[in-house]
Amino acid sequence: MAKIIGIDLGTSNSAAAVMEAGRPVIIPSAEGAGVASGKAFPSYVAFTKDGQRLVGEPARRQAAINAEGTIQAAKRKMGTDFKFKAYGKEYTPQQISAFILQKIKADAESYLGDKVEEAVITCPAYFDDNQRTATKDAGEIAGLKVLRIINEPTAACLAYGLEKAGKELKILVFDLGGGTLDVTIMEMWKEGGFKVMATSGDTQLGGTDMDNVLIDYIANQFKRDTGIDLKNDKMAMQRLREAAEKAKVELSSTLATDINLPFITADATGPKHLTMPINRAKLEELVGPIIERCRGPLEGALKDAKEAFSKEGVEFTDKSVDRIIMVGGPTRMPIVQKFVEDYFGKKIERGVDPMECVALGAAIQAAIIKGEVKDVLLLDVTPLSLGIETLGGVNTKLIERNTTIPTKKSQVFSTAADNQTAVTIRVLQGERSMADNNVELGRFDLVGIPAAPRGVPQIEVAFDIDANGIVHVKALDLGTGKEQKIQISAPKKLSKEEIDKMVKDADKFAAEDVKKKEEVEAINQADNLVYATEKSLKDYGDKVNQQERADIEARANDLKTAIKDKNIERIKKGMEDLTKASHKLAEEIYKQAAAKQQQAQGAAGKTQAEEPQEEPKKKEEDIIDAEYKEEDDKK
Amino acid sequence: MPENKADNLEEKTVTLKEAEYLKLKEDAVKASEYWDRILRLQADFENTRKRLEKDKQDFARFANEGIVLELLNILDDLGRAVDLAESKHQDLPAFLKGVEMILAHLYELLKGYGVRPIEAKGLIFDPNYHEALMQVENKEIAENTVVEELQKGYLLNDRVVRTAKVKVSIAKTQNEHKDVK
Repeated sequence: MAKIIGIDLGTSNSAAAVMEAGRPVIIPSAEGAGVASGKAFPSYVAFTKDGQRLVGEPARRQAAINAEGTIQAAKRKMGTDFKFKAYGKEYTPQQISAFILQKIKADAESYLGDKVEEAVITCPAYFDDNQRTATKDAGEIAGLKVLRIINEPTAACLAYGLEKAGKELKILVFDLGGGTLDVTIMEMWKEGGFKVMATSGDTQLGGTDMDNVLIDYIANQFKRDTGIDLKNDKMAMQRLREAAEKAKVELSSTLATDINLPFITADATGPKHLTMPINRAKLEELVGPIIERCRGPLEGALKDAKEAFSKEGVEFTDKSVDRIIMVGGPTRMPIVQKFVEDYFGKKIERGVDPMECVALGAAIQAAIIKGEVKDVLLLDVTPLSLGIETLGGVNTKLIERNTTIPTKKSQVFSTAADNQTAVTIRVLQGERSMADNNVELGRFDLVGIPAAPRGVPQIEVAFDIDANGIVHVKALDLGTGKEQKIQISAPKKLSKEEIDKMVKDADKFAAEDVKKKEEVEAINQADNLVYATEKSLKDYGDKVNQQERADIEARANDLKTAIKDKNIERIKKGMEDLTKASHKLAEEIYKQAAAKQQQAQGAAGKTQAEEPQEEPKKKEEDIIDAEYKEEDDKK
Repeated sequence: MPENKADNLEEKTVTLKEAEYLKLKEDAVKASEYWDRILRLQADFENTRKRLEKDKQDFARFANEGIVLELLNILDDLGRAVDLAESKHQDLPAFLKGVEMILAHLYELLKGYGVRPIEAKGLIFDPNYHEALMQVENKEIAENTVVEELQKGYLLNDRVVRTAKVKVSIAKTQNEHKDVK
């Protein structure tokens, strides 16, 4: 089935997205990432003297030497009679926009490997019928059937999945782009429809202004320090612009950064370098006045919304806003987010790239129209990990959190002690590494395991979460075929807050938990070593002399005491000592084994002897090195 | 006529041949089996997608290991150059030679990773590779010729990673001297 794409036809940048396997993805521009960050490309169209047409990045790159033939921000003229002129030819704004849409169509076709004939295109909420018709015409000129023109703020809401909220919402969309600010207040009905109540904005306010104040600041500082004016040096300014943009982006996630431009210029005294620390506070001081300019449009939109709502008999105040959606690159800056959050005393929505959300939302709208969304199976995920308790009280996870259900996972475990005939399966829910810090969903015993040395029995534990979220846990002794199972029908319906807390706790206690787990692992390892050594002594003890044997036994006893005391330092030391002491024993065992092998292979021929020995452990590798703790161990 | 009635059919009673009933019953079992299988496939697909995303992230985290390892040598060499400069050594030509060797080394390293400089100077301006920052009058050479590279551009495996920032010639001063903002 041919895909419908969603298009964000912007004033300074444009982007497109498409639904893939139930989620929207941005279609990359054919030239790769351009100067405009992200996958969008600049909304430039250019005609060269020799009649070539350029769209996007290439058009922008030649703008400085071809002002006559370069057109940008055609969107500002949509729906008017304005004609762009280039080398004697005239173009309507629709035609210029169509060239941009054609490029998008071509990029999408090469990305999808299929024809693209239909699209949903976004436009600002304040566009009138004329402007919308012009936008639609642009699509048709580009060879796209425009199924719908939707409002940019509506698309942004769809990208955040607000239509699934299932209740009435009043939404503020704050869209600060490269060169324009649009504030929109919308009402969403319970069923998911959107209505624009008020819009306001500033067509000459955006991220470019912020870059410029930062560049000016740095250049002025440099002039003050060195007396050299970089503004006359194109190359230096180019380097400075790039460094300033990079610093601005970095200061959204760090508090301080450095501008380092070695050999930026030179004078009679020698080379000059530009090095300047810049912190977030300084940047915020510089852009503060620009952000303050957002206040007017914000207040204007709220005032208009109040009137519009009152006509519907609904009271609306600043406090009525339920959700705040941010759109556009500059809204990534903490100070912009803080400005809006402080104004409303409410947190903004997070989780979707503000530069991509309009295109993503348009793609979702396209899929809704095509009925794709309805057909998509909405599957749940497990909010928390599920696992079982293993030796030493460790939580061994079988199904990780955020796994989509229904799903099934199994693992083979073994026993922890010789002649252990029963194991207890404790089913755990949670992220912590020690069993007792998680929620126990249920437990059961598998009995009747034939007596065998520890580590020999193979017990398969299978977790199966069905589509209804019911957890089926089964333990099967692969040796005897004996099995036992339980069904946990309502795996503790936890509230979102409880789940969040559990996930956060896991992070909070991560270091502590790792330490505890390491301790348990050391104990398990030491225990294994003692067990193996004692077994070797029993089987081969006569191969070493009395003195050595006594030495090994003494070391093993030391280690046992250390294990009992749970003293990690002593356990580690004890393991080293015991390993060293048993080397002699091991040597003897291997000497004998080798002698036996040689005897046996005397007849079999030489070649085989030269081959590397098959790891005798191979078989056991399938068995996870975590064992059940015997119920009795606990007491 | 089978004796056990369908549970939820309240008012209407439909008479079926036993064979038909058995067939329906079988189909219902099959349908629920298939449905479960679809759900599981879909969930599997989702989980695979999540795993791939995670793998991609893990891969990206360590994919640079090779180039990082090679960069460390260059870092060492630059450190040595700085140490030497600090000791006020007077043999400037030898010092310059050393720095040039480091530069050549870095250049070779990038070349090994598919990085190539973009040719610009003397060529006709091409917006696919060049970015014009300004233009100058020059009647001697063809119009739209790159007369100066202000910043070198580079390709990574034939894709532009950075355009060459250039100064371009113009034959006559019909237009005013234009600069980028």
